[in-house]
Amino acid sequence: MSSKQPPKYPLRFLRWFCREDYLDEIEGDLIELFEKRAEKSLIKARRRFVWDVMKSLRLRNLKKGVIMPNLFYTLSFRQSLRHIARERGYSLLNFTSLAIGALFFILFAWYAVEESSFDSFHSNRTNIYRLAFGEYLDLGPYATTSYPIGPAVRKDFPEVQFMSRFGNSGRLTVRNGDVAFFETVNSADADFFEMFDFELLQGNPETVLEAPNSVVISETLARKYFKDEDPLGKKLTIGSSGNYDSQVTGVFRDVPSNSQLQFDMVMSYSTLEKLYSWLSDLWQQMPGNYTYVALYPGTDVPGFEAKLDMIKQSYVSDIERGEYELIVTPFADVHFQEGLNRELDTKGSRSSLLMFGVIALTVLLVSVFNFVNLTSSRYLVRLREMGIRKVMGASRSGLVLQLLFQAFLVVAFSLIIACVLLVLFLPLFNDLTGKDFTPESLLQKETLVTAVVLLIVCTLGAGIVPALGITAMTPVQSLKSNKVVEAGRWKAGKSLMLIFQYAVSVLLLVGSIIIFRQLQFVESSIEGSSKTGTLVIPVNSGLAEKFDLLKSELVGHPSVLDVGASSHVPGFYGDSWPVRLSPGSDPLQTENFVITGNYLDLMSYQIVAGRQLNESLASDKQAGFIVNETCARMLGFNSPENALGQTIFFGSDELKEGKIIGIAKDFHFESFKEKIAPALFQFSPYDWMGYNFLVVQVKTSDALEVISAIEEEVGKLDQQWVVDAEFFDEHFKKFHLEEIRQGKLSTVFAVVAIILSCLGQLGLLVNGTLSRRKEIAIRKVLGARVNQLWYLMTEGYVRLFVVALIFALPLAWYLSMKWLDSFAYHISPGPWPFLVAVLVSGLILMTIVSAVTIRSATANPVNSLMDE
Amino acid sequence: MKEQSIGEFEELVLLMVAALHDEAYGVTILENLEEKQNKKVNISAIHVTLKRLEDKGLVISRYGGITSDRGGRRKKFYVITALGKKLLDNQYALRTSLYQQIPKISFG
Repeated sequence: MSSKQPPKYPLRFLRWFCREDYLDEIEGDLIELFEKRAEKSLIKARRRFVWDVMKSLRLRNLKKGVIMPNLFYTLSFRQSLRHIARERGYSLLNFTSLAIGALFFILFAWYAVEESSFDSFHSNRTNIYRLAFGEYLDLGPYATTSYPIGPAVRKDFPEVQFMSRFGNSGRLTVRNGDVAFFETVNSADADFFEMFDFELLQGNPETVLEAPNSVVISETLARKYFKDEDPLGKKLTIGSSGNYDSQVTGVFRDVPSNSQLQFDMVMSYSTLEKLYSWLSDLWQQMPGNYTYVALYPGTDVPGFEAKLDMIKQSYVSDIERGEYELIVTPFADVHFQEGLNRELDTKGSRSSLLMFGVIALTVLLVSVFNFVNLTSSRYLVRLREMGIRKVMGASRSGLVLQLLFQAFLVVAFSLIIACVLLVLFLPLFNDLTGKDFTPESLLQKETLVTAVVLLIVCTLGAGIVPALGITAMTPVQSLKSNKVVEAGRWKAGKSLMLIFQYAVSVLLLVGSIIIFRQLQFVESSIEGSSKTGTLVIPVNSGLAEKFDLLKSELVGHPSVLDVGASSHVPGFYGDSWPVRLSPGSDPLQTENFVITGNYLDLMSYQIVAGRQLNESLASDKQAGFIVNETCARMLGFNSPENALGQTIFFGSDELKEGKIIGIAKDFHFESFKEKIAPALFQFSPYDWMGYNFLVVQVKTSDALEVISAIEEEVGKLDQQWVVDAEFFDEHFKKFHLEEIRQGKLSTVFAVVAIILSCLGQLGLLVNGTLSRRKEIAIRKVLGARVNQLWYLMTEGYVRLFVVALIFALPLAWYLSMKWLDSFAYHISPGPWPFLVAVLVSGLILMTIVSAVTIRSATANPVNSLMDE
Repeated sequence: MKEQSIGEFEELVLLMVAALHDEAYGVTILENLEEKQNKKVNISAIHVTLKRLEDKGLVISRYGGITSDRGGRRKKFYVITALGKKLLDNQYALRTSLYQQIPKISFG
């Protein structure tokens, strides 16, 4: 008989969902049918039974109370709305704080998605790697590589699918007839557009960069030079030598901002190779040339990296000393990795992404905590209601569901407000982040996912604790007592939340003060390291040779204060050369500046020892050097004075011997996040090494006039040249936009978080005081004075505040130190930010507590006692 | 009162309840229907239809005694009501009269 039993679980399932009064009939019939069928085939009978059970799962047969039809009763939509409306003040507080929290969180999610999407548009990105020097001739790691390495790797290693170098040929004039501008010209190999997914609007990715003198330009440039004409096949005059003049073979869509490779114009590498055949022998030179390879999927990358040593063995065997070690870095990691020397792009830092993350999460947490606090304190008022509901037969799960639903309504409504605010504040946000977000991106998958996750997490996170707490009482307890308010568990939770709120406000205050001061420091350093009114104008070698003529014409202009020239200007273009103490000793790679005597004054670089270079002294011309403090230190002199008069040797082959006649104070090259490099100033050591930049000090008020005067003078000497004047300080500031922006952004975040935390404190304190209002009234009747009451009420909160400080201050110290360490030069915060933060948050705390307690302490005790 | 209307399957089940008289419950109705129509019917469809007919007052039900078969569950027997009988009569009359209006056409 036992084998003729119907399947157990389907039967149980039937019994679970089916209403009792139908069960006899349905179950009986099913079993009877099963028994009859089982006589023929047990397996078929069982299968039919399961099928019949499934078919019996109909709305009509469902048990009451468990499932769907009852949901509307349980959720009691209308009652939830009534509750929200009745407690307008609290609801408003809730909506505001949640909406702001959600707003900031969504904004951050956006920002993070954008930041982490860096370079992700290349479909082949997991197979693309960058070749770089892990160690180059004992000079350290370099992101740049020598010219011939790329082609050799392509030729010798079968696992390489594509290879392209990416080089910068500097800023050159580009001309189509009368239309001429300065452009940054890059060059790349034929594989470039096949390896990377930069979208070509015109041209074939396989061939655009194949032939010499081919150039591919961006959509913007195509419009700039050719207006509405079809650019394909047109000729562009690049530079003034005529060597680079190229035919446009393709047009690409403008490079997105989240790409580490940024370019407007790419020339074929074959152009350079055709011009300079010696490039392929430059194994031990280091021009600005980056090498990328795409490996076939499934290549053993560490094995490939190990094999790269063959390059050294086959081609650079004559190397005398030093390491020549090549490393590969996944292309996608390059942006976020610690930089080598001469990195191509400014590093995205995971640490500032992390900082934003922490702040955004804190804002969200604070607002969710506020929500929990306010909701739970409001639920106490509904204790009786819950009791009565239970007496009337409501189940606990039903009540929890109902409370959760109400929380859900509040969260959903807040999210809607957040979205409206988002659209309103978008321009401001774009301004702060330098991103281009549009309201349309609201509809992106990521944002919607974030919103839904937020909705669920906030509802559950904020709703479940108070809901479970309040429904845990037996009906008798909840009807009879008011004691829940003082229940230990409740009180502990509340204290913890207060400690959290205090800690957050102290932490964020310290953070924003330190960020603010560091940025002030950066900004003042920018001002200190760049005099206003210094124009930097790139020139070609022809113009550089006629510098004296140009200068004599320009100094006559009333608004021109001084005119100088230099081979390099920090932030524009640099060139690194070896310097030694003796011909055979180890070289120090230094930034080289070929200058006119007044250059240091023009750039407002100070001399800390010795003197300036003097053009009228033959000894200075032939053998005078000025080095910066870093250079002197790295050459082994322990003080600037010791370095004075010392002999050093400049150059790699043809050495120039000279004496150090002056030491310049250290100045920042580009970013304050980078260490200052050694630098050396001199008059031109070789005939071919000339000026690349004209540096003109002008009265800023007449800048435009001066620029047109310079254009006129330059035009007389070289009609082809385009004057591309830029103020040095403005150019310099560009390197710090990111930091300045991030600083502003985090200050805004912090201020919002502090406001939210104050709101939360207010909610908690008002509630805490209200629950003690009878006690206060009785104490008052018995003769307590307002100040005694105030002391009584405040004492507990102050104790919590002190506990919060114990957690917050070390954490604040640790985090801010970590952030400051990402700057090579930073303030040392000292105790002040911490003291100020403690004082301010203490003051806020005292104000709120005092306001609330004094209000209830001065109220007529009769009112509080009469209540109920 | 508005005339009760029933669907085709409902009518079949109602007819079967009437035909089986005191022996009509889920399984017998199912078996007879399957046999007469020569096609499979799901028991759950019959259950639902019976409930619907009962709601409309066309059948009434009573429980049988507890037996050791059927997992100890009682049978639920259905009997046609006067209303149900009247409805079947009306349907039958309607159909017959319509049928007789068919002209004598040979389909040979």
